[in-house]
Amino acid sequence: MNICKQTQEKLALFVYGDLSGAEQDTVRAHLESCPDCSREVERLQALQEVLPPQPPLPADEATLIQLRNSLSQKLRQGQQSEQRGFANFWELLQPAPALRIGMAALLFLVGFFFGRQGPTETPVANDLNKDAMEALFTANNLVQSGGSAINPLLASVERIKYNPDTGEMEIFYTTVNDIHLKGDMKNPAVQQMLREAILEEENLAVRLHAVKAVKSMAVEQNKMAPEILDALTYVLKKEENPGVRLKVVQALKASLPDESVKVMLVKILLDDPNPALRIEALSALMENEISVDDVNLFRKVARQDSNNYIRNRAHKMLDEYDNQSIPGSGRTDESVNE
Amino acid sequence: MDSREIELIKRAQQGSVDAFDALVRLHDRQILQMICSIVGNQHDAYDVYQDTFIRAFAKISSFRFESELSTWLGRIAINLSINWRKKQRRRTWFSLDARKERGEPAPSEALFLQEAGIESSMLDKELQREVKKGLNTLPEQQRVVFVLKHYHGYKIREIADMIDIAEGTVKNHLFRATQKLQKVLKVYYRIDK
Repeated sequence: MNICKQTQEKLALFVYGDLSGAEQDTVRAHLESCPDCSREVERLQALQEVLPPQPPLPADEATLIQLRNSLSQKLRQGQQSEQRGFANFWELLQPAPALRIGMAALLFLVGFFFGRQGPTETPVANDLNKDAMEALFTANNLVQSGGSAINPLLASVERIKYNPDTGEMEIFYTTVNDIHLKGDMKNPAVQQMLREAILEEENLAVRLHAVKAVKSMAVEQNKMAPEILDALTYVLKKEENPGVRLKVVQALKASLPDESVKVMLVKILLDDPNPALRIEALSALMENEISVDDVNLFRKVARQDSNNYIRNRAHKMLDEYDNQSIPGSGRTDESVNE
Repeated sequence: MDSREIELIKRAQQGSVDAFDALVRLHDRQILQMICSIVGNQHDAYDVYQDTFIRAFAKISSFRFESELSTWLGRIAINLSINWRKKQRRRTWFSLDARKERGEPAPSEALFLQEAGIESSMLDKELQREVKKGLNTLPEQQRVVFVLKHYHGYKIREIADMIDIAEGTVKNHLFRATQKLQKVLKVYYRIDK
């Protein structure tokens, strides 16, 4: 077998589709007239098939979160020790006590000399009282929301703009610390942050806590903000973790008899592949006032659900309903909602 | 690179660990996968992962936005993975442990093979061994080029950028790697002439 020298390096790229359109055409044309190169391409394609495809991520979500947390901790520790090292550096520069007075006198003389040379400047720092200084570093006035308080500490000053005509100063700075938001369940900032956590947070534990918090909120208020309800609906469709989904169903349960929540629970009961979620949905629906449509739904579940426990619970509930119901109460329900 | 990522990089360059954490979350899956396919077992990969991002944080002020951040991180990850392998010569493609001595796949290997859909019915143990052997016999750069191309689908110029060699050299490494692997694995081909 003699692969053509001018083409040999392009053959693998041809197979991997890593050639430009023109090069791909050139190689293809060459292959039609060169059996050796053509056979080599077949071998390369066979090699691709025989080798495993791209390896999976060698860490599950929980391990990845653990790795990230550990990394973040190390980076923060490293930063702190770096700052300590910097402080130590200044400590090293401190003169011995006996020399301090001499150094102070020298600095005073140098300062006096240079001070006489240039124009007198306004002592900016001295004008700042303690409260103003604190406001500068905590930015309370910028981010307070309702009953909440967000206190981001200063990380670094990004940019300073000074307008000499107006005397106005603009300072752009970033914050670096963890932000602590405090507020009650009715606080819009708290609700917004919970919604963000439910929808966006990668950390599973945080998502779970957010849903639990929403559930507590729903239990306490017996209703749910529409934005939160939207978020939970989205989570039910997209979330893969069964623990989080179960908490979502429990949260929805707390906000019954909201009609849209009920529709969602019915859908879970009928369609969700996870029996734990179906059980939770069933119990939620059973705890509320039962309509004729509900009875038909339970009959369907008692007949069709693949899970014994769910079928039994539905049967039991129907028996209780039959025993409690008054004759002639209109249970002509078989035809409804089948 | 979108504006959010650029903003995060700038903040990380000023020392914000929070911003860097966000960058880690954007890229670490891909980086971890890459590291694992070079160092060969997940536990060592976790160590190299930590080293990679610690190194990246220390050096991020030198990032000049001339390439994608993922490429820049990939370069650090690959260099550290190669160094790691040099230090761990005795280790093979997959982790060596008691399971291996008993002839069972190591946990990482089992995961690799199971998730890749390569069960013993499809690819017998002998072939698995030959694939590992074949990859391990490749010189380091050929192996890295092949892994980045075959398992991660990087373009030739991206690989050249990551391991800091000419594109022509990457093509040559890829050609040689495929030739050697063909020799090792040819008996398993449907075309074995």
